[in-house]
Amino acid sequence: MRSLERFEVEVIERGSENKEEEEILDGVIRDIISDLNLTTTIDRMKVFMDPEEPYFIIVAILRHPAPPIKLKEVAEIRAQGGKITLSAQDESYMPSILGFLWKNYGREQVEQPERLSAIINVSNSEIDKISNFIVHDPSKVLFGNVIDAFERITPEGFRIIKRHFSGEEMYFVASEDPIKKDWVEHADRILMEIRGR
Amino acid sequence: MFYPVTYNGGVYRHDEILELVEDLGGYLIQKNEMQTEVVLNLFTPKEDFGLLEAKAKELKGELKYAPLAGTDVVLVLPSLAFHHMPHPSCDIAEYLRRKGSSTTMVGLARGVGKRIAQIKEEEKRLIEEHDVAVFIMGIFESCLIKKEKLFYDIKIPVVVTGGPQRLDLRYADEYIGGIGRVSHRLKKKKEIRKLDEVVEAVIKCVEKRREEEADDPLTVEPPRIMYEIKNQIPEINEVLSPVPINLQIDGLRVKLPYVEYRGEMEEIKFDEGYKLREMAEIRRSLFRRSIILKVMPRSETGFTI
Repeated sequence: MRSLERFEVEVIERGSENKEEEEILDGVIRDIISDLNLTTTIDRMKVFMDPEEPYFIIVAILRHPAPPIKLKEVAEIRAQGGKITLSAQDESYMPSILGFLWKNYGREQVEQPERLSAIINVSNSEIDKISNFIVHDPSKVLFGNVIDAFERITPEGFRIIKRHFSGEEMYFVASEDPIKKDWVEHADRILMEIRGR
Repeated sequence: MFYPVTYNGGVYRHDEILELVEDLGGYLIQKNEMQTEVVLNLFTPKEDFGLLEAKAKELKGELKYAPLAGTDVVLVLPSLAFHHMPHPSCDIAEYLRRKGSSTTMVGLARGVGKRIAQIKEEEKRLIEEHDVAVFIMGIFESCLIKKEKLFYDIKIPVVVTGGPQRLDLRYADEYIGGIGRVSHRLKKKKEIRKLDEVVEAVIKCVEKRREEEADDPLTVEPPRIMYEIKNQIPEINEVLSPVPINLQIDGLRVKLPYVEYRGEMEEIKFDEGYKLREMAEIRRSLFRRSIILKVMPRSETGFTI
């Protein structure tokens, strides 16, 4: 549970000291983040809601995503007599590997004797290009997931959204009315606040 | 007065229950066969309940009072997006079905937001075709109060669920707090208790409607009409819908196309010599190609059968 304490929720409740709205929203956010497997990728996050105005802000700082995975890290590649043979360790990367090979060398040049291996009829000089092919880039998938999570957390009627991304920092201001300057400034302030932690 | 019950038991010899209910003058509302198990929703005369209980015991089945059997509840959500589905709306619907109700879920076209939330006249009329409406709302108090505009002139009882524990809504008959937006299946003890509270609130509304109706009884009991439709319009047996005839407190919905069957429906004869058109209003339902029947009370027709 330690890792989840990096998330903070604030709901302005006028006229009552009750924090129940905050608790429910907090529960929803925790569910969504754990559903989408984002607990390790979001470093710090703060959610702010003013139901009276109404507007909604999510500010998050992400962790550095894992580096891209290259083909040479998941497969053994050898040059043998004018051919390149390749045998992968994990089946899940095969579709992307074969897609790359077919696109670059044509289907007739690529043989697949069994599930996890391939023989490419090209000259040995191509071995560098093949070895450095990026099989999977976690940062691309991750970004999509973070946006998905934000959209699930935001109240549904708040369809006017201002997004801001710079490197690992991002914020999201949403409302049903045109976004006011004050709200964006508020989001900036929250970003400054959590950056300093 | 009929007593609504659910029978839970094996398929083997369950027809004996059906025969007994028919002999007693009761009605079968719905039958669900699941491999070797069968669930029957029944209406039986209250004074003969003991006989049925003895039979159920003999067949090692379970007989339970189902206060919501023969009612049609509509769940209204601001939209059908993942903010509301499948939790908590489907969980609430499942709980209502366990008590014998049949449920429909309606996602409003423009129900989301606070200021921008709207309900269409057509949606209102569709909701009013049912017995009780359950509005499933979000977390924020000020938003819920503003969203009363969605249900303030709905003529059937309205139950509202939302985030704040206590809230005074002027136009809702019942309010159940503590279920706001939920993104997981409601299975903790506290959550199950909330579901029970929702069911109780719906039961309260249904009982109130039944009491009101007892002051001015319906010309004919809806299960009786259902029985006659099954006998006189054989096409109803070919309808693929799981519930071809949906019972309500003051009428029923028949899943047959209105244009083709209105005439036949009007001409349904009863042993007492009356025709259905003298006792019920037959309308086109807003619900996908079906007919809605609302039985007239005694004060309008001057008789009961």
